[in-house]
Amino acid sequence: MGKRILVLVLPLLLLGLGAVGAEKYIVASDIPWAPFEWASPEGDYLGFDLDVMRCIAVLMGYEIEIRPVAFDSIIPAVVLGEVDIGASGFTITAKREEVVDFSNPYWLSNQAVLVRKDAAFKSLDDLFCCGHKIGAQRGTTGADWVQSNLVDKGVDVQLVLYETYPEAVLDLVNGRLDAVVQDEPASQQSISAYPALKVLDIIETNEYFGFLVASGDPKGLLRKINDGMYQLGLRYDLSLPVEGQWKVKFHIVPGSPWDYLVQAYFGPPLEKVEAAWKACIDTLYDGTLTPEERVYEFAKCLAEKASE
Amino acid sequence: MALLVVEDLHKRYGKEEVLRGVSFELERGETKVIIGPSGTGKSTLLRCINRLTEPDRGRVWLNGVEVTSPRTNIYRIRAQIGFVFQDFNLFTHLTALDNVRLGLIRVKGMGKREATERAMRELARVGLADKADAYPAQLSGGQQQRVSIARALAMDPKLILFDEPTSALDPELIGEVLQVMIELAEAGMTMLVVTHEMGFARSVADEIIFMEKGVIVEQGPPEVLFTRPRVPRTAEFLRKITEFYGESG
Amino acid sequence: MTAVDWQNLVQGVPSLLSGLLVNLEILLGLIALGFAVGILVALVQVYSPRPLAALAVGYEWFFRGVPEMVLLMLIYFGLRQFKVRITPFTAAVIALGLRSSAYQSQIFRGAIQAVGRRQMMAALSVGMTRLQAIRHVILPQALRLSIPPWSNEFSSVLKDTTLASAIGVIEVFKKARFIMGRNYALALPIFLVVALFFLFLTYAGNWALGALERRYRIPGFEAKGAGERF
Repeated sequence: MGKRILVLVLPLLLLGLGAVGAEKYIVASDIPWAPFEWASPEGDYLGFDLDVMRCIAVLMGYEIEIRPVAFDSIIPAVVLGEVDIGASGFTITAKREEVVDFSNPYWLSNQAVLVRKDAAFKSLDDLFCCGHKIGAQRGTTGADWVQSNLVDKGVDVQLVLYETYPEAVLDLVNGRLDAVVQDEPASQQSISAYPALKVLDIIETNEYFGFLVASGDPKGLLRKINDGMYQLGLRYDLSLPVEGQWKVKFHIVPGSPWDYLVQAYFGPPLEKVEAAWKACIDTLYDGTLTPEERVYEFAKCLAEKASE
Repeated sequence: MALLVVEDLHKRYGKEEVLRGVSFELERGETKVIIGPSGTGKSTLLRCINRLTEPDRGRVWLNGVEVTSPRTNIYRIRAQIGFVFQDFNLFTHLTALDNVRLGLIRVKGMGKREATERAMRELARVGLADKADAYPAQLSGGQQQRVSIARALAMDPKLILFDEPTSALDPELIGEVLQVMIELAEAGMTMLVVTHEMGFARSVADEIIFMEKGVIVEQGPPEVLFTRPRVPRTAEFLRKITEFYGESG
Repeated sequence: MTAVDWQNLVQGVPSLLSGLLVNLEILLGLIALGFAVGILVALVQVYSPRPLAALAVGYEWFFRGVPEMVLLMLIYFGLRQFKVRITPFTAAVIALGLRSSAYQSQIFRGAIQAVGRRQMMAALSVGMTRLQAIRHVILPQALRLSIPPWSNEFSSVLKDTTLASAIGVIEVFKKARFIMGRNYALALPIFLVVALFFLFLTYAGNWALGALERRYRIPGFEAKGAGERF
């Protein structure tokens, strides 16, 4: 008797589990690093990386939970299987590829050198000498660049590492640093927040950002992420590496969700993006629309409201 | 068989041999007083009897049950032997009533109402019914010692051990405690008392045990010991102690 | 500060408070764990046979000697290594709770020793077992003696809860950093607000403990070395 019930119930149970429990993946991100990821004053997590993750999840039919993790802990957390995806403006590097797997690149970034407007530096040569203090966030390519191209080569500068980027910027504003080396888009955000700062120069590091998962992609996420990015409207002309360097030319389908997300996040001030996000986010989870419609309407709404 | 039989007790603390073979008996209703210089093992002897201190060797029987046997439920034995400490050792956080009641409730498993009635009776017996709600710190030394006697009495002990019950008291408070003890002896309680109160020893004790350096030097009825001791050491001690403490009580 | 900064600051307060709630949850968990384990360790140190007591001393030595931050990492990543699924919150409660248990055991041990062996002997003399004596005689006194030094420990662990941010618990400190990262001008004001939160909680906690002490005060008892930290 008991056995028969089990035979009847078990498949139902499994079915039920399948229907209710859409896969849920944990996305780790180092908050704050606007405009890629930050928390609004009300405590919502938004940013380009995170909304790309949300849109892909909607398209691919899984759920995500966003978990703030310190930047230098994200890769260990992914390796330990504690989180599933790292989405935090990670530059694709050979060193990182030894321990994790990357998605296709989704962003090209160079390093900006931020200084105070009142500083006397005319060029990078004035800055990179004389024991000047240069700040960077621990574990970032900016920090790596300063270490390997300046400190290791005996240039007389002092590298000061920070756990978060804003702390470095704050020290720059307060005069405890002479410069901060950071990715371009984030640096643009700091300048709009702090008019006393300017970009002294751009160091062309040709960094490509990618999302990362555990080595060997045990949960089969990379394919979903790559497909998702494609569906959102990101296309590439991929040429073979030249002198070991990636050369990727992005082109974005005009009027695609990807296009709108870029418009929304790179340009308008954070307050406007936050207001837009609050107004539009429900669209992304509107059950009356198809996943494609939801993603499109959300991205479009975000771009329009943010640039109003 | 006597109510209490102590046979060849030995106890050593490190190098020092505190008890070196002590044997005696105590009959039902009898009061024996142990005297002797400080540090001769009198307190240790009392504590070995209910095994608050474990003797190294020797045996103790209470009412025919071997206290020192490992198979004996020592908690049951201790509940039958009252112990009155030199510095009272009332439970500091409990009122006089609760001090007397605690053992009744927790050890004897008595209901609260019954325990309260019983405890109040014992407090009345030592003249402290009006102090039932006082905490130890609010009582004089003499009152505290009387509460501790009530605490011992409440358990219906077969025997009460007194370990210098008046030594920690101011002279003017000694009398009230001794009075309670005298009444107990008259009521037929079996008591073993370590004390320096020679007056009490002389008038109340059925027999006096003189101990020195871990052994019993001499024992006998007070009139014999006080007037014509067999051993010169006893006479010397009695002379000294009487000079020191007088014969109060 | 500009009007926008003020607005952001005010907007941030509910988010900070929700973070503070997490700190309080950690606090409750770690205090309870630390209290239970602390008493156990103290009792073992005072009353159990030597090898076991030595073990308890070793326990205390370990958890007092290792920095909190390192303990957090050891518990969180250490358990992960052995495939034990543990949330950052649970790891924080365990790590900080065990650390606190070492300090609390010291407080309780001191208090138990201050109560003294004579109270134990008196309890045994009426026929109580050691456990009964501990339960009805020793602990009621020792716990009263423990309240003043325990309030130090309370203030200390209250502040320690912010360390949980290091292993990814989103509590008030982390939330403050989110807000700062969003608007750099708020760096000073937002942490001032957080500081005020903690000052208030410390005050409220110590007030409550003071009330508890008065509630259970016994005449003449406080004279016996209450307030000393052992």
